[in-house]
Parts: sequence; structure tokens; C-alpha cells
Amino acid sequence: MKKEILMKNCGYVFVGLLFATLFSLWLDQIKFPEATIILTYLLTVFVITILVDGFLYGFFSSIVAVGLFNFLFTEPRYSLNVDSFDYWYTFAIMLLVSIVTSVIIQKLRKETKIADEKEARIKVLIEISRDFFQAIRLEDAVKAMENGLETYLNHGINISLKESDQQDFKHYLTMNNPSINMHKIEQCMQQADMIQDNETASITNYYFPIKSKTGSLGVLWLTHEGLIKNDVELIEACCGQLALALDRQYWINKQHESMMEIEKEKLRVQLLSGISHDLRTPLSTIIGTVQTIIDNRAHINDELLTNLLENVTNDSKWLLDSVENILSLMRFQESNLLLDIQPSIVEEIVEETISLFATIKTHFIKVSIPEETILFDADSRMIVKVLVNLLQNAIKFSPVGSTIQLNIIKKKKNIIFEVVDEGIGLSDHEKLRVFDQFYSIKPKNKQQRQGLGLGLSICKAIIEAHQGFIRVLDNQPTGSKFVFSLKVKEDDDEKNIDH
Amino acid sequence: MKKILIIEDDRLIKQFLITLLETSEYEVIEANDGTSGYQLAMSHNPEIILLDLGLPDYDGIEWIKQYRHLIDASIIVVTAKDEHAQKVKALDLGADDYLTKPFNPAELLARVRVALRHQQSKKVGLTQQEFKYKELTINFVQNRVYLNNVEIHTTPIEYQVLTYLVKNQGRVCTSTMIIKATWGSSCNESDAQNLRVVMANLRRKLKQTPTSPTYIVTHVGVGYRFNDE
Repeated sequence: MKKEILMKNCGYVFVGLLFATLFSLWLDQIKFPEATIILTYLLTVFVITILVDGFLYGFFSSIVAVGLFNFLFTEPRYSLNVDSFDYWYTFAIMLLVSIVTSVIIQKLRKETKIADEKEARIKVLIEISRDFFQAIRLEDAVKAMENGLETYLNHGINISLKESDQQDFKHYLTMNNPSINMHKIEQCMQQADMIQDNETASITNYYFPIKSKTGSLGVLWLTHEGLIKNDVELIEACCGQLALALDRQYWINKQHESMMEIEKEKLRVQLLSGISHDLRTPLSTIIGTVQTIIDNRAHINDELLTNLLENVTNDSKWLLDSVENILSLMRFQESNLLLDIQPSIVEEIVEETISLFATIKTHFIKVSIPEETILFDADSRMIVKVLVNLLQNAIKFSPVGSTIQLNIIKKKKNIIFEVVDEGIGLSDHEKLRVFDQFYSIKPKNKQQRQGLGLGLSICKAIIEAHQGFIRVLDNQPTGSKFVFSLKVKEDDDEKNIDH
Repeated sequence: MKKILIIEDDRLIKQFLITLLETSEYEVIEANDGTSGYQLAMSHNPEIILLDLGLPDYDGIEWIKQYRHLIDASIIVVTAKDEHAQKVKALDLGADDYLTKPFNPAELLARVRVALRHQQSKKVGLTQQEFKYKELTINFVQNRVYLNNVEIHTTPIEYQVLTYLVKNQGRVCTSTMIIKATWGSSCNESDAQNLRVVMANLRRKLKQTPTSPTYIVTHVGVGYRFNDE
């Protein structure tokens, strides 16, 4: 490569001088003054220095030009001797002028080159910072920076970022199969300064910390033949930009979190104020009834006593259900509903649900379930909870002696659960609001206490946490149909183990 | 009279338990904490221990881990509803059964009866050659299963699971217990899934439906129990 450039440059010099000499010979022939010839040579040297990179070529051309001029055009011709002392003066001026011009041009070239490089770097930085502000996700920002630097350096780079609240790093790699040296990355994080690590004589590993005010956030690292100072500066500037972007992301997340926290707090206050009244009523009934029994034991006949105690039992059960629902709701809000997802079998869930209604004699629960074994990923106990809630509602809102259907249908990759009652049904307005928190409908049966309006909102939360959906539809001719759908476990629809 | 030890620190629920059990003609002894509970268990040798998992001096799970192998009694743990993981852990560590608060009296008495019966059969030892329950007959000598006197084909795994449940009739066996006793590996997720499929096949072969679990009763998230009602 170097030899080729040398040959090319020498070629320029040779052709340039040859052309100037031939032109000058022609000028001499038609008796042009010597000054024109001198200017021709000066012009040639000028052109050569523009075309050829390197001060020495200019210097060399200047001397050869003067030599040629001396040899070909001064008396005596075809010798390096000169008759007149004037010529020495001319030579000196000619040499000086040509050398000075070549030096100036060289300098100019160099400055232009530096300016071009600078512009390229600034362009990279501008592009990266523009992409940073457009990037919403962290990955996009990192990708943008990697792409920008990669184009500039013509070389892949890697970024390892510390996961927040964790010891692990997340790696964003663009080099082909780089070996990750965790020790060096850690070291770079700690020192918060660039580390060079000479792997072999020609290849060096570079580690740049990405540091913000709060400390090192990660490390940018690459393997390169050798980075020059400008590259290092550019990479450091980019690291600074990335640190800024990371900080920004961090604060955005923090802000989001505190907003969520405020929302949660609001909900909690709403929940507490909403339920405290509803809880007091049945508690008063229980305390009052029991106290009455204790105080007036002698005056209460057996029938009345049984009646009163049944009321106490009913209200206690209502309280228990309500407290269960409140606790579930609070737990969901606290932990964003942590599910214990396991491969589950539909029939087991149905079996457990039905067993909980074994003592119900007022309604008949009819179950229809496919013959085949259906496996799906779910938190079984949560699905049981949903079914229990739906069945309890169905019982509450449909006449004694009516039938409630629990249908399980498999449709392609979905499993659909239906709870169908023959009750009063819901108006369109009620259908819209029935899954809202604290929305409850007064049962027609005056014996029963109105619910807190939490059950169905919990069902909705559970089903949505399973990536399913829940709806309410009309049942014909009367009543409602609650439907929810979940995904069947792929490629395991039917499985038998035989050993 | 059968002796029952109650280890429970809440005075009111203890009083309720004592009243209930004494009216059902059991002899009841009581302890307020794990340490005195253990001492009473050693000195009185009760048939059954009702153990509350939240004790003042002991984590109930720790108590079972430490004393299970020293005590002959059946242990029934009493837990609150959201201590689901604890319940499974207690069973895995050798507790015989569990009750979830709030429970109704009939349920408690049923659990106690099952535990006593189970203890009886443990003492006698399972030397019988044949097991009969409703329409189901298992011949342990020939490794054959009959339903309504018609032989039903079971795979070796299904047979092992079924006999394991039968030998622990009335007792809730966790998935881990069943897997360890039958295919003997440490329990991972695919084992749990395989067990569920085995159970589904068994249920189908025993012709039982979700609405009437005649033989095998599912305790979702905990395990399975062979019916004894």
C-alpha cells in the first residue's frame, strides 16, 4: 500500500516536471522571455504540492525545477554552470518561492483534513444526541450510539450496562462473538477511567466507563488495532452523552414510580373509606345479637334463638368473604398480582370449585366439561377464586331452585369458561360498570346484604394478569352469562405417560 | 379415650377447640407454645396434635422439622388462608393433614377421625392383600385394579400413584410426596405437569367426574387425597 502511494506520488512529480520542461522548451523556441519559463516551473511545483501529499515532494520538485531551468535555459545551455551572477539570484528566489508555496499548501491541506475529521466527529455526536432524545427505550438509545460510533470507527463496539438494583450487567454487543472480560469491566467501573489492555502486540482492548454524577453506570468496550487521541475523545464524549441519557431514563422511571405510588395510595384511601361503613353494619348486627342473647337468655325461645344465631352466622360469613376480597385486592395492588403459574388441568379446577359449593342446596349447578384433558398455564388457585366469585354472584342474583351452568369449551388454542344463570340479568348500563371497583348491585332478595363491589373487579384483575379476557353477556331468555377465556398450553394438548 | 394435644396461643380459638373436642368425647391437653407443646407430646403421648403454624416461640414449620421424627402422633396443622406455601411445606415435612382457618366444626372432627383411622392402619401395618373401596378393588399381590369387578388397565406409573394414595387413604399427599414415592426424582416443573396428566388419566379410568370425585380428591395447589367418606 505504502509503496504504491510512493510510486504514484513520484509519478505526479515526474509527469509534472516533464510537462513543464516540454512547455518551457516550446516557449523558448518562440522566444518568450525567461520569466515566463520561471513562472511555468513555479506553477508546476504549485500544482504538484496540491496533488501530492507530503512536504518532501514539494521540496524535491522545487530543487529539480531550479536544476532543470539552470541546465536547459540559462547560458551556457546544457550545463549547470552559469555565466552571470544574476542567475544565482534568480535561482535562489525561484527555490525560495517554490518551497514557501509548497509549505503553505501542505499546511492548508493538513488543516482542511483536521477540520473535516472534526466535522465528522461533531456530526456523529450530533446524530447520537438527536437519536438519544428520540429514543424512548434504553435499548434504542444504546443502539443509536453503537450505530453512530460503528460507522465512524468502522469497527464494532460493545456496551455493558449495570442493571438497576442488580449486580448483573446487560450486554449490548455489536462485535462478532467478543469474549467478555468481566474482571476488566468491573475494574473499569471501579476506577471510572479508561483502561487499555494489550492482548497482543497489535490488538488492544479498550474499556471506557460510562459515568454520571451518581457513579459508573456501565462500560463501553472494544477491541481495536489502536485508537488515536481524537477517537478516544469522541468515545469519551459519547459515553458522556449516554450517561446523560441513562440518567434521564432513570429519573423518568423514578417519576413514573412515584406517580404509581400516589395512585396506589389514593386507591387505598378510597378503599378504606369505602368499606369501613359497610363492615361496621354486619359487625354491629353480630355484636348486638350476641349481647341480646346473653342478656335475655331466659326470655328467648329456641326458635328465635336459632333464627338469631343464623343471622350471626350469615353476617360472619359475609364479613369473611368481604375481608378475603379486600385482602386479595390489597395484595394485587401491593405486588402487581404475583401469580404462581403452573401447568394446570381444567378438571381439577372445576372439581375444587364445585366442592366448595357442595353445601348449596338452593340452586342446582350443572357442569359441562370436554372429555379430553386440557392443560393450560395458570395459577390454579386464582382461577378457582374467579369461578367461585362468579358462581356466588350467580347464586345471589338468580331465584331459588334455578339452574346455574358452568360450561367449559375448548376452541382452538383457547379455553373458555362460562357461568350462566337464569336470574334477572343486567341492563346495558350495568354491564358496562359491573367490573368496576366498588360497583355493586342490590340483590332482589332482601335477606341478603349488598356486596362491596370488589369481587368482579378482582376477577377481572386475575384474568387479565393471565393475558385472558372476561366479558358479561345476556343469557336467553333471561339471566347473564359471564365468560372468560385463557390460552391452552401449546403442543401439550394431549399427553399420556406410559412407562 | 383418644388423646388430642392442642398447641395454640390464641385463648379464644383454643377454648372453642377444647369445647368442641371434649363434647365429642376426646381427651384434650393444651399448650401455649412450641416448647411446652413438645414436652407434653413426649410425656402424654397423644394420638393427635393440632398445631397452629404461628406460635410465639416457634415457626410451626421449624417445629415439625425438629420434632416430627420424635413424635408418633398425627400432626394436623392449622393455617390461615394466605399461608398456602407453608401448608405445602408442612405436609412435605411430615404433617399428616391441614385445616384452613376459618374452618367449620364438622370439618375439624372429620379431619380428626381420618387421622385416627390412619394411625390405626399404620399400627396394624398394610399387610392386606386386597383393598376395597366402593366399586374399586386393588389386588396388591397381582398388581391388578378392578372397577365393578372389571379389570382396568393401568400403566405402572398410574398403578404406583394409585396405590400410594390408597395406602395414605384420607391423607392429603402433596405433589412432591407422590413424585418422590413413585418416580423418585427431585420434583421439578415437568414432573409436576406429568403427575397432573397421570392424575387426569387415572380419573378417567376410574370413571369419575369433576362434580363427583368418588375416589381421588384434588386439593388445588396442594396435592391429592384418596377419598374416605
